[in-house]
Amino acid sequence: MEPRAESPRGRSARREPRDAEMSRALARAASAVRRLIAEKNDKKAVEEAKRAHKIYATAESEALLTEAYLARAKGLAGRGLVAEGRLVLDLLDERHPASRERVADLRIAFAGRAGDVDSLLRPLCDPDLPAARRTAIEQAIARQLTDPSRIADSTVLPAGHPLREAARALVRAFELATSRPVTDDEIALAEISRRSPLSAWKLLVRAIALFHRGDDGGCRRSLAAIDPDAAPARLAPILDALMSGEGTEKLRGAAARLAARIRGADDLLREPFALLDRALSERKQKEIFQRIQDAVRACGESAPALLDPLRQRISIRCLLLGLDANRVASACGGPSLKDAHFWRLFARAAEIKGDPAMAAGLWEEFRRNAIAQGWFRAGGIEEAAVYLYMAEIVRRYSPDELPDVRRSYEMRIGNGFANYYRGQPEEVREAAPKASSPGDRLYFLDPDRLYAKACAIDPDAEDFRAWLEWTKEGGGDAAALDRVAEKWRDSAPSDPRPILALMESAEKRKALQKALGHLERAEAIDGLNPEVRRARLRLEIATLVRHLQQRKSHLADKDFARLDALPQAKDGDRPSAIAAFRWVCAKIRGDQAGLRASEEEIATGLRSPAAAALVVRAAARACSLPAPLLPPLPAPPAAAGDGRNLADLARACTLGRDLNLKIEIPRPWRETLIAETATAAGAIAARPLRWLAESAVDQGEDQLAFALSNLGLALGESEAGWSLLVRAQSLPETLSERRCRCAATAAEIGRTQGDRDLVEQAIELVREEVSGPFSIFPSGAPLPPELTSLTPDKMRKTIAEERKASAYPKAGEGRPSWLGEDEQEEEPRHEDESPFDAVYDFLESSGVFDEESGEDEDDDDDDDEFIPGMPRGLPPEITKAMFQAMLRQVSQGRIPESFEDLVHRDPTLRATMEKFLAEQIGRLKPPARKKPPKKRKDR
Amino acid sequence: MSEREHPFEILGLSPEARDDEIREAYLRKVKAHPPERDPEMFERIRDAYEALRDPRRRARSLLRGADPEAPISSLLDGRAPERRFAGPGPWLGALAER
Repeated sequence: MEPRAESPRGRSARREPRDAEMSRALARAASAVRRLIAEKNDKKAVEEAKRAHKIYATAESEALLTEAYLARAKGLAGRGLVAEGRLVLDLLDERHPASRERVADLRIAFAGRAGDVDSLLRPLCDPDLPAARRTAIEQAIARQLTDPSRIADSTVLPAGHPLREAARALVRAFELATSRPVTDDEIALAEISRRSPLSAWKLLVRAIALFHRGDDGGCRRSLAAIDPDAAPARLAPILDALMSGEGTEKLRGAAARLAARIRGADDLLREPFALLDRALSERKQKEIFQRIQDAVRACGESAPALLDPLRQRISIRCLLLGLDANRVASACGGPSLKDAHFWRLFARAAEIKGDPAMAAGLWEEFRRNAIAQGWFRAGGIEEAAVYLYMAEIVRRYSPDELPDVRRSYEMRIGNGFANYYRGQPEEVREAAPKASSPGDRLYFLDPDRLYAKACAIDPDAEDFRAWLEWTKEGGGDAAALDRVAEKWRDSAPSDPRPILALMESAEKRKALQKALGHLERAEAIDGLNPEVRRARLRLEIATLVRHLQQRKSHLADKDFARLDALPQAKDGDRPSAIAAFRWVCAKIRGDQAGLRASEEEIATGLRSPAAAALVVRAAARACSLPAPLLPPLPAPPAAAGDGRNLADLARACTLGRDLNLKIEIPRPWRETLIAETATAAGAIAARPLRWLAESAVDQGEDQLAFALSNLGLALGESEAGWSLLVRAQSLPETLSERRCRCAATAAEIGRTQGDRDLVEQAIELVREEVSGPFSIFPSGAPLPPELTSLTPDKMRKTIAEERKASAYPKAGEGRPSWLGEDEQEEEPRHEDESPFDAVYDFLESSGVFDEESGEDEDDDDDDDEFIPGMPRGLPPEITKAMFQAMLRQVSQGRIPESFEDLVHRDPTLRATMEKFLAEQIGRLKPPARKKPPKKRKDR
Repeated sequence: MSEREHPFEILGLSPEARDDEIREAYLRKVKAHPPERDPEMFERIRDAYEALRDPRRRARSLLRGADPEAPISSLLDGRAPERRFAGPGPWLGALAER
């Protein structure tokens, strides 16, 4: 039997199941190819697709093969093998023409990536180019174009083509914006619309222009508007780093070179400058000079504007190292510019080297040059500040040292710094010092003249005060002080302070009427001023004391009446002090009822018999009441566990300080009081404790003062300043280093607390110690840094150490071996009641030494100067002996504070006076005695 | 403001700066470092301005503003980086490399 021929239906019925099967197989193959494409295994994907197409040879398999080839081409281009990718596209084009459309799109992308601008542009000449293709080309241009001149110069596009014209305008604008400042019109680029493939470039040009203008905000806005996919967006991070100054160190290659070109020199100079710094710190001379040359050369090439500051800095650094200036100048390729910058550096260097005189001279050079260069104007406040600064520097010398300092400066510097100006530019030479008299030339070494210049420009109260302090420090006479105060008054007529200064000056020389006149003027300006009110009380008391000294009780009554009317006389314990003066007045008059009333008032007010007695004694002594007339010293009290005796004494000392009365600390009380300090913590408030401690120092009660400073240190940080000063003052002189340390710490604390008095006293003590016989520092040097630059840690350490060291140093502790055994400790300055004192007081009160004066006259003040406490009308031999004694004391580094102090310290003067007094007493005629009646003889 | 921070340096001014330049520099710096964003720097800027607007304090800062012992490298500190014109080449070179 022959096989029957199949019917068409049968054949299709058999094909249908086969087609479905093939579809499913092709679908599986497609899935596998696409998976390989996704895995970027495009080579295998092509092989699989080829196999499938060979098997199935359908349109679907061809499409799959095209897809695989396109993926392969993209893969190759993605790996940088653009040429290979293009070959794949060519093959695809040739073998599978149906894929031409898809290939064309990819060709555009490849052309852009390869920089084949011509291939990219060519299709644009076709007027029938589909819109989609045109868009793809333009997108490729936008994303891939890294040089618009490729379009501007391309011959593929005809001249006049809008894109080519736009590119030409763009190239011109880009060149301008990267080469010089441009106006907005120059970079307007109207030819480029927002949709143009060159629009991102237009924004880049604008961003660069704004960057160079310094308009960072505008630059950033333009950058933000650039399509992130566009080629110009790749420069945004570089611009951002250049604007912020951060991240430029991370740039590499062409970006780093661009940044270096734009930022200029700094990056190129860091290394040579760092090497020079290292050479200077290691002090290797040979290397220093080599590195100087390198740095100067690099600077000259990269940043010529920095050359002058560099040379100046080098010359001063080398000066501080002591290197030869000519060699340095030679290494720098020439001398540094001697302008204000230079002189300022030089002056600061002189300060660091501890040469205040040289520093002052250099600040003078700076002043002239700064004015010439326009840093500030002549006669301006800044110039005043320079004068003040110079005065502060020169005040590091004591007034006594200054004449020698000037002589030494003249010898050292001679014609000033004129040599430095040789070879300098004309504008610098104009500021060179002009010829002047030696007095004018060295004015900067005279604080008085510096203050005068500063205050003439800027009459500031603090500056006048500093000037006054200097005048006092310099031992200025009353006339000198008054001149300064008068200048201050003239510049500030509504300020009571200069008038108070004039008042104090008059008061000091006992010209009380004059002082009262000044006070009235001060009260007219500001009667409520606390200083003015205190001054009124003080002067009234001083007038009262004078009248009582002169035994003019009727005038004293008027003084009491005025005091009774003074509101400030009723504050605190003041009424008790005034009652003490009433006691003195009653004593002079012999008014027993008055005495009793006063005693009762004082006892009621002070509630302490001991304090009352001390206040009365102080008032009586102030009024020169002879010793026999003084109330007796209270007996030494029993030590009180609650510090009562200390508290009473402190209260008396506070009152004494308030009213300028010297409260005597009875010597017999010393041991009791010292013992009481051990248990008196917290018994006395800070202020009274301070005044008590200072009184102890003043009276030479060093051990008591030391013990009181323990109490002060226990009160806390706020009282540490004065406590340490008292500690310093009370320590034996042989413990110079410890005294220095305490005083320096006290000064620093005083500065932070604004306690001017504390600072002045402490610095004075430091100076004395530094130049004293037991000093550990070289003589004549400025205060060493370890005493002027105390850190908080050092201060805390000193406070802690002194708190611990609460026992008074043993005798001989710290005594240097070179101090001979025959040196005696000086006796404490203490007002002993010796027969000499009694005789002397008696003679004084009897008027032996006084000049005649009228009964009702209120003695006018005389403006004669005298040593505090010095009696008037001393005979010549006593005066001569007194001056000789002064010379002896001063040569031993001691300056007696008063006439009494001098007498106590100098045994020779004491002996001379005793002899003189004995002679005087011998000359006193005995009173005429009536002859006793003759006894009648009994007959 | 510490001892070593000189008001002129904080505001980026030369010693010759005039009153109007000081004020402009202050406003510029405050804008760049507002208190809510950078309170510490704002305080330093304000302190520097207070020091310089008073002629006496300004003069004081001027006198103490020089440190002769400062490293040579410190000449580069605080300098506003230059913005030199590099021409089109370096820009295009950087773009092509990226």
